Amino acid sequence: MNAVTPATLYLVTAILLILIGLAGVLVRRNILKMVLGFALADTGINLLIATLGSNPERTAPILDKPELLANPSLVVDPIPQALVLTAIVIGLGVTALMLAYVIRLYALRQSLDIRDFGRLKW
Amino acid sequence: MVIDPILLVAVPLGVAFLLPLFSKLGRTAATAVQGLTIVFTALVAVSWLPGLLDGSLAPANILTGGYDAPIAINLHFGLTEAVLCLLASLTALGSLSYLSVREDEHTIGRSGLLQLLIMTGAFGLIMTRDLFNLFVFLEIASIGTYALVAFGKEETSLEAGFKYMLTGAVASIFLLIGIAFLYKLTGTLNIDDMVGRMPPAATAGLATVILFLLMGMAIELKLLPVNGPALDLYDGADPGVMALLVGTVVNGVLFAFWKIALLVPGTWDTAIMTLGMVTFVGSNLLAVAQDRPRRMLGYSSSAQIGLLVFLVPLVQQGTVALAGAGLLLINHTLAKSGLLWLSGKHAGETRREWTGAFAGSVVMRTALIIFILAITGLPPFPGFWGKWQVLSDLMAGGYGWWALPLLIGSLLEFVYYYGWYRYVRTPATSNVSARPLGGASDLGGVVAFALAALVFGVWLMRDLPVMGDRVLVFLTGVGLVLTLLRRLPRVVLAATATAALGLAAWIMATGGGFDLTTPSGLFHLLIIGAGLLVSIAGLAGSSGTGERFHGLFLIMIASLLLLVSTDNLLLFFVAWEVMTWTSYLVVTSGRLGAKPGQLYMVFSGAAGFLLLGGFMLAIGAGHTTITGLGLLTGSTAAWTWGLLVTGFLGKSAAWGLHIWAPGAYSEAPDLFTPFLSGVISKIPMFGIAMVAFRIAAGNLPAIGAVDLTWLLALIGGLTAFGLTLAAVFQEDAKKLLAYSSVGQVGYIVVGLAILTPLGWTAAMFHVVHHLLFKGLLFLAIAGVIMRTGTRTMYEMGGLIKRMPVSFISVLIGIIALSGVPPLAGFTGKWLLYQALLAKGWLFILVLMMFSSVVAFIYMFRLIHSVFLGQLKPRHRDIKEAPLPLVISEVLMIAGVMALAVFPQLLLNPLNAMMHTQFGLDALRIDGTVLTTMSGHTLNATGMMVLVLVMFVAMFLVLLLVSPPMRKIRQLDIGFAGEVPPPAEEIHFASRFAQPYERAWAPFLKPRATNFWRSVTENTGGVIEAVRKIYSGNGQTYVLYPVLLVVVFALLGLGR
Amino acid sequence: MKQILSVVLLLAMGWFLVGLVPLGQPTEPGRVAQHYIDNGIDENRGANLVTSVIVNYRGFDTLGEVTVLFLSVAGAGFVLRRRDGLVRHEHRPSSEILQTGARMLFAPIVVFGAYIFVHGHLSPGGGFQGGAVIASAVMLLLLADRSHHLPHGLMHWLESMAGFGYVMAGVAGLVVAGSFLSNQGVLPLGTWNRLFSAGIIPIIYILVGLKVGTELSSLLDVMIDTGRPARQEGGRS
Repeated sequence: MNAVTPATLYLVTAILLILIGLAGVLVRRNILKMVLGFALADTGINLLIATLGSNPERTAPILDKPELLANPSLVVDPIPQALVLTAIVIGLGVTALMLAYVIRLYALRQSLDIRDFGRLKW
Repeated sequence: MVIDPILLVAVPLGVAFLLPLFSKLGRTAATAVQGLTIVFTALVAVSWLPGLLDGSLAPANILTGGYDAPIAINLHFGLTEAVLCLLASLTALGSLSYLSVREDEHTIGRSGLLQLLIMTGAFGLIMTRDLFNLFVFLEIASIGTYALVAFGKEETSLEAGFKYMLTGAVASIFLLIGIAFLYKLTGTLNIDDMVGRMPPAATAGLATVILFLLMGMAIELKLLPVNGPALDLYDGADPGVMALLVGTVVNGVLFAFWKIALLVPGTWDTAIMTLGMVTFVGSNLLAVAQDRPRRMLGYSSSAQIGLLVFLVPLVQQGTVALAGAGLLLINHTLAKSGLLWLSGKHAGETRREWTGAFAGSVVMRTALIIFILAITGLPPFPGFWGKWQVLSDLMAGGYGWWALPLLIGSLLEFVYYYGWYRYVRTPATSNVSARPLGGASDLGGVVAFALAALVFGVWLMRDLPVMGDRVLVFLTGVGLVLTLLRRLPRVVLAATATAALGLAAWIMATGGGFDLTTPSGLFHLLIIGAGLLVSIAGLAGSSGTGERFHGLFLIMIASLLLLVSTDNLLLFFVAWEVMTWTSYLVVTSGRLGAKPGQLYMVFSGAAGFLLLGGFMLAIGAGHTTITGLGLLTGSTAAWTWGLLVTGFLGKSAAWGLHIWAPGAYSEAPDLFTPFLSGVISKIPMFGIAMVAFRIAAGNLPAIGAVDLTWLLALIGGLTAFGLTLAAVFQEDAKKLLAYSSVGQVGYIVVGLAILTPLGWTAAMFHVVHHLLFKGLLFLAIAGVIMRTGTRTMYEMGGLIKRMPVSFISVLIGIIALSGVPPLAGFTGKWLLYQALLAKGWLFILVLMMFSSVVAFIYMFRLIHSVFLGQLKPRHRDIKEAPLPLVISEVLMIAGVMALAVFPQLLLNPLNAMMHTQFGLDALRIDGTVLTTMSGHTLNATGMMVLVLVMFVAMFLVLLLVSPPMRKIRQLDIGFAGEVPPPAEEIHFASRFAQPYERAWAPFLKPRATNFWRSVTENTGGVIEAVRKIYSGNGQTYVLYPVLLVVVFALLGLGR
Repeated sequence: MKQILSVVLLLAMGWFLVGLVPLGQPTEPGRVAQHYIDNGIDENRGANLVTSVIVNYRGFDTLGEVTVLFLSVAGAGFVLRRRDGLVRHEHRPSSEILQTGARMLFAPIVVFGAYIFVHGHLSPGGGFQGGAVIASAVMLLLLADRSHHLPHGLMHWLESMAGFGYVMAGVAGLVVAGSFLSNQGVLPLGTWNRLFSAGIIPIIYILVGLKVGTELSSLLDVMIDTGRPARQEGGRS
């Protein structure tokens, strides 16, 4: 890698986001912050998927101009963009459910420390 | 007519979206709509099954969006998909009936939606052929799971659910990384399209991509060690929810893994197989230490999934038939869902709290044991056929070594499942609460799945030749009916059983089934004969038989008949295992039979797996019949022989492996013990003779200077010696006879090991004779126990006047046992000693003679302390044993006498048998005069006359010289003013053999017991240490997958 | 200790992930993507190819996606079904200006959201984006006035009907063209780059927009829970 391409930049950022997110999950003991960690890691994943379909020399896959219609190979791969949308929605769903859990867990033990939720073990 | 499978997804989705509106119409409406939807999906699957099974329908390729793959997402619906979808529907239906009665005010109208969508998610997972679509349905199923596990007690379910979500979220991240890069590498998302477009395995980075994909799946599959949250879930969530998950999501994820594995290069196969097998053995091992049944079920699930994961690469490369893995999966779904539903029917948290569970319910008890038998892989349940198929394929495919951990893991399943069942069978005492939960309205799923497991398993047998055997089918059928109708009066059950056996005997007799010159014919006669005698005795109707004895007894007899007549290894093993579990169930039905029953089952299980291992070696070498064993050579022959003989010795309780026997014999129902001792313990002897020794002794290598057959004889000798010695010190009449029985089997082992016509004749003679006299002894003692209510000998005495027939039975029995003239015990020993002398094994001979002498001590005691001496005041009004028992006893006495006076009745056919086996005669038989090949003779009738003459002469002399008899009152004894100590200390029969105890101390250490105890303790210590990895901390659970990724990447797996 | 180990392991994992960067460099679109780019307009007549992929080619995914959303809202409601153990703070009513401003903005935001999903097949954005914008209007309303009540009956009805309608649109494709969610022959495809074009795609996207909007609003409602009185049993204050 002599020249840092935009894709490299995005990918490294995505990986950093994933790692920071997971670090939040693994190091923070507050379950609310753990949930935030996952949200962060999800963002990293979304960026990663979007990057895999990106190409700085091409434009968005919306053929709304006659010149694009005439030469459709000026646009990028639409699939990763579709996948990212799905990934975002799924991430949102999981986060929402996690937050609902956090609310009930707090109501149950009046604590947000993950170590207070380890009664089931071995 | 088939229904478009796309509706499997479309219809439940549409209904689910509308369900909130239906809920407004009321609870019943919503539940009805949900139920009808599930029934519809089941019908969709059913409409395809017959056509897919017989091949008249081609698997469907279902397009979406109007375009074929890879342009649009497509679904595939073949036989596998149809079966999985049907299982999912059925589990969802069962769970609906189970959960709907457990709804509370908050969950009504909310949980049904989640159930429906979880099922739909599973359908999508099963059918889709698009990698990303697979992920979407995986998330549908997962999110549904995350939500639904909050059903029930918040205290535990929320905690478990949250931890489960944490690792699930990590799995999603891993999977997305893998899927995104795979798309980038192949330009497609369709799995089948992708398979052809995968870059070469050596492509830089590909291994990392695959690793993330696999680790994501490992979390979803709950493989070791990332299964912690799943275990918590089994522990903390409602069992009904878990049952739903087993049938839907778990199977769906497994099949998703199957599809993903298509993309994984072959270089990963060993890694996947190892991970799967480690999960199978590891989870089963950890389950052993688990005290909470529901969590134990979780470990068991992990293990079963591990086994299937192990099989995935093997099935895909064609080594193992898909049917084998499929049967294991179906079996697991039916059994595990059923067990989970049942586990929610009882409030017990720990195994102790399960004591006496379901005591009032025949349905739940029966279902429970059916599920346990199924999940531990016993015939006729589908898991057995699956395991057999898988093992055979492993052997044939050159993966034989993998069979070893598979068998070990399977044995561990025996340990914990029958450990749990032991508590269930133990009668509840007042201080343990046994609270059943809920009524009978939610049992629909349980009953349906139990029946499904049974019917499906039997259906799988439809092509086996055994189904054409009238006697076997008849006996098994009657047995099944009697098992189900076990609440009828016992006399009716016993009469039916006796009639059935009589009819079977008649059919077999007319069909020439009792040809005594063949081993099968001889054993047929023994089995049916002993069965009839026990059944007749059972007409007494009172205690002495467990609640479900007669039905199981008939099934057992059918299995024994099959076992001794088949030449097919599979059928032999089927019969063997059926014998094992039927006898186990009868043993546990004894009042205190639960605990010894568990030990019996574990040792029997181990014996079974040793046999299975031996058979598998033979099958790997291309032989599927018992006759074929004779063609084995080299080390395969030696290993097969070793495994088979060890297995048979284990089942016959040879010394070192005997620790289960005394408990099982003594705690089994009193009328079953004669059969256990007389017939069941002889079956392994049949096995050694007719199966193990098919392998020519010439093919067995010697270990150093020691011949393997001599080693076998030594084990037999030690068994005879050690257990006879142990019998001497027993206070309990049944235990005494139990030790004695096992010791007597040692004589038979020695006879067989000699491997000469004479040795085998001695062994077979003893098989028959021991059956007669030991059956007689056990039966007579059973009568005594029935009347006195105790088994402790010093609590009896003087019963000769009250129970004369029993006395005569025991007298005849011990004379026959002791081997003194004039009864046939002498003939038997004479044959054995002659054979040993001819063989030149003098050390063994000394051992046998010594054991015979020691046996006198306990035999004398049996008759003296029970029947002679003073009658206990409380026994003054005791009656003779019930008439049916007396009839059986008299018949056996007749048998013993016949054998004594006319041994040629048995020896002539045996001689013919030996001629077929060895091509040589064992004896020259001339009337009652026996002559060995080396010229020694014995005249049985002459001996009888001689002894009678001597007896009469000495009796007259004694009569003349002894002083006249004086009558005294029984209680006419003074104590010189001292307070009498407890009875057991003054009674002469208490600790009768104490003087010998010190002398024999070095021999009396319970070495075997100590050895097995240290094995369990050490294993237990390891398990305790290992299961601490499931720390309960959600963060630790998240750390494991990351750790696993790093370790596997560092190992360079898949490159 | 465990935390240090976690960081070390994450760094190691990061190292392996960085190894994947060369795989992520721009390439020509793959075979399938090229098919969409070349034939997408012919086959679906929608200018926005991403929308064609989402609603038609990978419409089955999107149905699943809608299901995920539906499921997570239902799931959150299920998890939060009990209210005990929670401490409730009495909130002060927000200021008149804030409340009025929120009410003023509500309608324009909803209209904007509707615009986005109606034009999903022509321009960037679509049902999900539009739905999210609508939900943001609801959130504004709920945050500005915590005592505000959503019309639950209407919301549930919309939610259910939108989802059911989506499935029905798929079944229509099954009936007409023999394939679930097919866009061929259900509605005329129309002319490229017009509002009334792309066959059934805009219909589905409108349904998705409604579904997502109501779904996310319900989710916010469940989380904020202004509707029900608190039960104080078991809660500490």
